[in-house]
Amino acid sequence: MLKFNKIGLSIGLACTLAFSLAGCGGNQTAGTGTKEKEASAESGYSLGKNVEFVVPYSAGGGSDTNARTIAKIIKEEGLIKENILVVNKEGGSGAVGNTYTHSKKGSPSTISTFVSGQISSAVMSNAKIQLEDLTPLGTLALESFVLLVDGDSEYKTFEDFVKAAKDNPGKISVGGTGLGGEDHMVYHLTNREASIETKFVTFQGGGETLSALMGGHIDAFFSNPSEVMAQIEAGELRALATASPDKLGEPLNEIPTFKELGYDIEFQQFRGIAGPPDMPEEAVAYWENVFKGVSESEEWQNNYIEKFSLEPTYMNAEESKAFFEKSETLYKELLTELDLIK
Amino acid sequence: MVEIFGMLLNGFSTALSFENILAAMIGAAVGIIIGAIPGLGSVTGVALLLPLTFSLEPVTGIIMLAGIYYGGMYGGSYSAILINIPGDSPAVTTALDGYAMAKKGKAGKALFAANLSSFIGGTIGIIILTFMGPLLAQIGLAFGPAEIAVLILLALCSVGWLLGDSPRKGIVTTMIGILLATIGVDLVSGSERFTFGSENLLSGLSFIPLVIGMFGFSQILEMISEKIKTDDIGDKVTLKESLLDGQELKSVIPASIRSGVLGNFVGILPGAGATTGSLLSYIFEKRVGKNKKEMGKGAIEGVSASESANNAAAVGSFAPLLSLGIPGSGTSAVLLGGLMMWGLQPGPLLFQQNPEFVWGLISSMYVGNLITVIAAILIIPFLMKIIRIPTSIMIPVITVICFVGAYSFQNSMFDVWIMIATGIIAFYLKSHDYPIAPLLLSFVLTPRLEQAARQALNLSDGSLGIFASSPISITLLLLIVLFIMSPLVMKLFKKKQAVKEDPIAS
Repeated sequence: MLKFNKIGLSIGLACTLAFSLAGCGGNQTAGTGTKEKEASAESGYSLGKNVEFVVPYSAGGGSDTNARTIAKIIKEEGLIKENILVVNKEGGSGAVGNTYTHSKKGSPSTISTFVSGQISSAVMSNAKIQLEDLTPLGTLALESFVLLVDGDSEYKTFEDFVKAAKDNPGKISVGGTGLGGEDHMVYHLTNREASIETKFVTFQGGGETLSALMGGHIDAFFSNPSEVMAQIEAGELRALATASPDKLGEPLNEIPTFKELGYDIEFQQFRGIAGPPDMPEEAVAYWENVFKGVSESEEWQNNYIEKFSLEPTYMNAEESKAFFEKSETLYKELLTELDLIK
Repeated sequence: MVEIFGMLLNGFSTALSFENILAAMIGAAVGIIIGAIPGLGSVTGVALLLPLTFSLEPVTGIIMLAGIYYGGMYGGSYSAILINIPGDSPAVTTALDGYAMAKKGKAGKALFAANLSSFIGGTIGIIILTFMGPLLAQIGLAFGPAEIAVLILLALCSVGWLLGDSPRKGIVTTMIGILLATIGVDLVSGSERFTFGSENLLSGLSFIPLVIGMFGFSQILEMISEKIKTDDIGDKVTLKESLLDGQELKSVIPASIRSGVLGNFVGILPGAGATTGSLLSYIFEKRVGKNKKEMGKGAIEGVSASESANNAAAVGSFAPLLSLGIPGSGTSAVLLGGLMMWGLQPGPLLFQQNPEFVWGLISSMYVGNLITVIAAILIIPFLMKIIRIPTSIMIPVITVICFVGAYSFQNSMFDVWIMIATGIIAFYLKSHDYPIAPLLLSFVLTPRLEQAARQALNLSDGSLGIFASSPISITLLLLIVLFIMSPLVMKLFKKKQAVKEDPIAS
């Protein structure tokens, strides 16, 4: 272990110095401390050049961690021969990254992380690059939303919450991280399905929303379960319901789903991968194979899905395309009702 | 109390292991380098190195990352002092006095003061974290949107006329900063503001290219137009002369302690951050310090106040992170992701469930801070050589740093154009004696103020009463009145004294 640590450290240091000298903030080759395994692409198809893995968000964010984990697993499992370069192309709520990926038309070696937000923000801002302009390649994880109140809140159940909202329309405040974001859409869906009226207050990021709730400045908010697990376990927060189709895993398995409570509220965020338009068919098949390998690896299950309390899934390119399109339709509907689509 | 000491001692046995000391040293060194490079801040450093630490033990990994975090705060002051490009936003106020000192040939002293103050601020922060961290984090929760809005207003309303010779010019640049900050998608209504249909402007202008342009590039233009002659200075500077004498220590230490306490508390607050911390401490120092008249013109207290405060604030953001699971800054948000990757759940139960981790980390901060200050002081002689480089070589070098720094921030050519454009604008403003720092500071603070104010108004259904609805916000409002009124009152007071003294004199 010690020896391995030292190797890790020295490689880490070398990489750091290398890129700090080069002054390149966003680039970093993935896969340090790799065990070289013979690459064995079944089809015999080869990319022939290094892979550019685009992250349309900043370093350190959810998509960035996702991409770097996938890149690491691909290298460790020897799923492809070539090197993978994770590149952050942030800005415009994903639009800059989408545009970049789109510009690599026909390239087999450019892939990009693709999450719900990239669809909704593209729809909302009427961006040049929409879902139909990219090639869906796979979906690797899903994440749902839970409705949270403070641990001392008078709302013990979702019914209490609905009743209070009906007694005082527009008075209960629900925090969120931005207009048209996933939490805003699930908020609207809840209001609609429960026929209640509440107030949406936007904050910069989950951390701020969380402290506003714990400080008693807002009444409730919607969050991914992973971000609030510790607080729920400690009794600081109470989860009233989850928007997932089925109950969540331990230790959140006590939380009822909205469906069980009799409300037609189902909303899941996805973490997928997309490529540029006109990606060759063999390349699509090749990548499907790679991502299947990633999703089946132990490392992925233990060090990603479980750590972040995500719901594991694997959808191939075609299934992903259908799933993304279904999401796009739902987002368009919700965002139109929210008056956010011009 | 006894319990805490016991835990801390236990923590030291973890922190002082060979691996962990090595991790702290590497973290400190990398942090100083990353912090000193304009365009790369501690957020980027921590984010990029995070995946590399996954093969380490969690406590070793976070010790290294924490080292990068506070090492970055040390490093941020170097480029601010030496070439007038703040390495990150909390170092803007460092550049004000630091570079002015460098121009007077006192760069060594400025660097020394910056390191010493960083150390004092960091240590104060760690001591507060050790004994009162969880408690203060709870208190921090009381700062809701209304309180944060008033706090930032307190900082913002003092920016303009505190930093320049002419209050009018200071207010003009403050306003430009506010205007630039409004570019981008409005978070509350979702509508685009001043984006002119450009995708690059959707998320607004970024601070890094702006600061590189306005401080660094505009200065190159000044150098080229031969307004600054750096050749005259720095020839005789030696390390020995850079050591602080007793008189200077007397200025540095009290300023560092005051700012450390204030900066640490601001760092604990949700979403206020190290920039607000260092700015408030700077302003506070300019109000209460002995040498207030010189602040902004090369006062050693100015360097101390901002450096001590930003280190203390960096440490402060660990309190809500560890005890509540709430990240108080961009960097600690990245660290939160890291903790989760290690299978730790930062939150109310972390102290109970993983005491060896938490106390190992806290103890390592004492060790790490000491290691960082030693490393930082050892670097000074090398840094000193930079000032002796003739202008003819410095100009192309700084130009390259400006371009690379602006580009590497998010690998975007657009940022480079922004850097050039704002550099030219800043050059024009400076040549007409308009101060640039208020512009940058209001640019950083405005989005927070706007957001917090609108959140508060949303919560209160539009009633302004919310801004005076808690003891905290009322106190802050009174402070604002006091801050604004004090120069007037002082003037009146002085006049009266003058009148009183006059008859005696005559």
